[in-house]
Amino acid sequence: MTDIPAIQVEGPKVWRLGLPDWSALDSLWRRDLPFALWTVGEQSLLFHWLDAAVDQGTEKVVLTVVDRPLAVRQHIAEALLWPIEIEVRSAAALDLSAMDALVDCLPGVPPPAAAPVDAWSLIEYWFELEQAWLIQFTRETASFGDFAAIGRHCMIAPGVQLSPPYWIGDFVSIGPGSVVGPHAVVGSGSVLAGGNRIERAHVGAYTYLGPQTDLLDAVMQGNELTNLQRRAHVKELESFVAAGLKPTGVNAPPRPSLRDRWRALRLYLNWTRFGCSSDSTFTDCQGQQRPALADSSIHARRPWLKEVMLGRMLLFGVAPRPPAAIADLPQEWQSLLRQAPTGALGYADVMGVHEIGSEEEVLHALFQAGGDAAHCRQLFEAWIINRIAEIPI
Amino acid sequence: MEPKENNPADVNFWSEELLSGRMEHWDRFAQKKMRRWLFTIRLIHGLKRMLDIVGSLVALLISSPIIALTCLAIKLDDGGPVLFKQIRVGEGGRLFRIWKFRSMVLNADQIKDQILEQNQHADGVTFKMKDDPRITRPGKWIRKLSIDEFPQFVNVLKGEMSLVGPRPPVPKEVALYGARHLRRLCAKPGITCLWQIGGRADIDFEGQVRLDLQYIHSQSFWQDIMILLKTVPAVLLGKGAY
Repeated sequence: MTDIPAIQVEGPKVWRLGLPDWSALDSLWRRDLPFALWTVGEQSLLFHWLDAAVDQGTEKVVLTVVDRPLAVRQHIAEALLWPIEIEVRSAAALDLSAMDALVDCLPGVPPPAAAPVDAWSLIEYWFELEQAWLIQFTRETASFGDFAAIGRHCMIAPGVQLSPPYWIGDFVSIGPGSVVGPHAVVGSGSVLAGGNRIERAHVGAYTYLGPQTDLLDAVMQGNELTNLQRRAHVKELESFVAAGLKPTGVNAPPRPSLRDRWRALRLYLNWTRFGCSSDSTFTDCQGQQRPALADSSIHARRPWLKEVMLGRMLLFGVAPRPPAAIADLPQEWQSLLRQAPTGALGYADVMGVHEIGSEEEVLHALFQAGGDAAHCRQLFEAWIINRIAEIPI
Repeated sequence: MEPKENNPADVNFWSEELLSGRMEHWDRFAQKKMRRWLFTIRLIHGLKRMLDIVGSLVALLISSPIIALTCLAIKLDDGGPVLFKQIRVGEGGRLFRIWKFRSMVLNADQIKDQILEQNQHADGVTFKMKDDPRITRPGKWIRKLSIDEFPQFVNVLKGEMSLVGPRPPVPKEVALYGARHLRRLCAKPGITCLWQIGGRADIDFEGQVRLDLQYIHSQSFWQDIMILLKTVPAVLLGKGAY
């Protein structure tokens, strides 16, 4: 299904889009997001469809999602840009006859010849989609000149060769002697050290690529390299060859407010009398080093309150836990807990459950991560105000 | 990914480092480079915010006599409220309240529906017309000299707007946007931008979007200062403002 669907004439203009469930094929990259949310060029595949919906004058888009609907809901909630109504419906299976289109290719662009059947063909399918987008984008923005293909606040050294078609995201630094393109995509926040050649390749967002390194027919995301020509995949490269960078600026992780830091200090001083402390640390499922807790009581969170005061953790968030603690959970729940902002105190504490990792606590943490975050925060505010009020001055 | 093989020096570069076991040195080099770039990005954001805060405070201080006179003029004209607030679409589609000096009669929105066919912007997205009957007597001068925009320095101080950036549209306009036009909302809206210093209201909607996108993609600290400096003569000459 490549054509942009016709809009219903009667009633509100509605598009019904189905998102394919290819999670079983994604056994190599094991992305946290469903295929429709994979980045194709400047934005996710689904967002290309929502752009097309805006251009067609659609008033409402109904998305039927089988694979990880919570992730789709979250992705859409974070993007406030479209002046259209978007409804996400989760379903056990897709009924293609009830859909106007399937989000498995770009709107108005012929799809790759063969549908994906395994992990490698899925990656190749995605890569072909991106190449098709690159050609279409270059054609459409030819009159705009370079400012369409190069993002904001980029630093490109003199003498760097840029051969169209290419696309460079925001906050990209390209060192001297590099050749970018043809058919190259460099994601936002990436750093190419210099002397790099990027041809028919994709450098993912926030990736550092070392000096004198070429990427040909390859995808580099963080320190994970996929060579499409030789069908080779390297999970972790040495950090001087390639590394993942921490997002910064507009995409920086949230930091606790001054009020929350002050609250953390009050609780920290008040809980001193319980004397729970531990010198050991653990790596949580988001890859951050966190102080280990002495026991399962809420007062044992004192070391985490210190982290809040130092701005390394939020006061209210999902409690950090080691990867082993979530290994038995379904894939979607794992990705929710991996992506949720971590905090010293969580929704589970508001509900009176303090033992991190217990069945009930995990359910509360999932509700906090994937449910109504604003509602949870409201309840937490009421809870923490009472808690602080109990502290004698 | 392959080491460069066409240049013998590059091959040596790899093998020598590998043989001498000095890879840690290159690791440190990489870390340094990454940290420097992250610092640069933070600096870009910091400088822009600093320019916004310092610029708005200075502008509010310098223009305080003009602001006082404008308040007096509006109040004496029809006794209505001095300020006019409107919902606008900001960065990332977030809504915020913009403050302006009131330059139109109190029931301006109702009259607008009656004069909609006289819109001089053929695209129908934005509305501009010369000799708009809704504009009050002091309003004519306030708009001509862009004094109506002065209260927006408070929006800048609050962090909802920037001194330089695409003009924030009203939600009704955004509802008529195409996908490409929505890219304007990627940046923090501003009081002035390229099209204000170019031809202001004389430029049609497509031209405005084009200039806004051009600004978003080429913005820098010095360009912001240049735009601010060029805005002063554009405002004083009242080019394209009505």
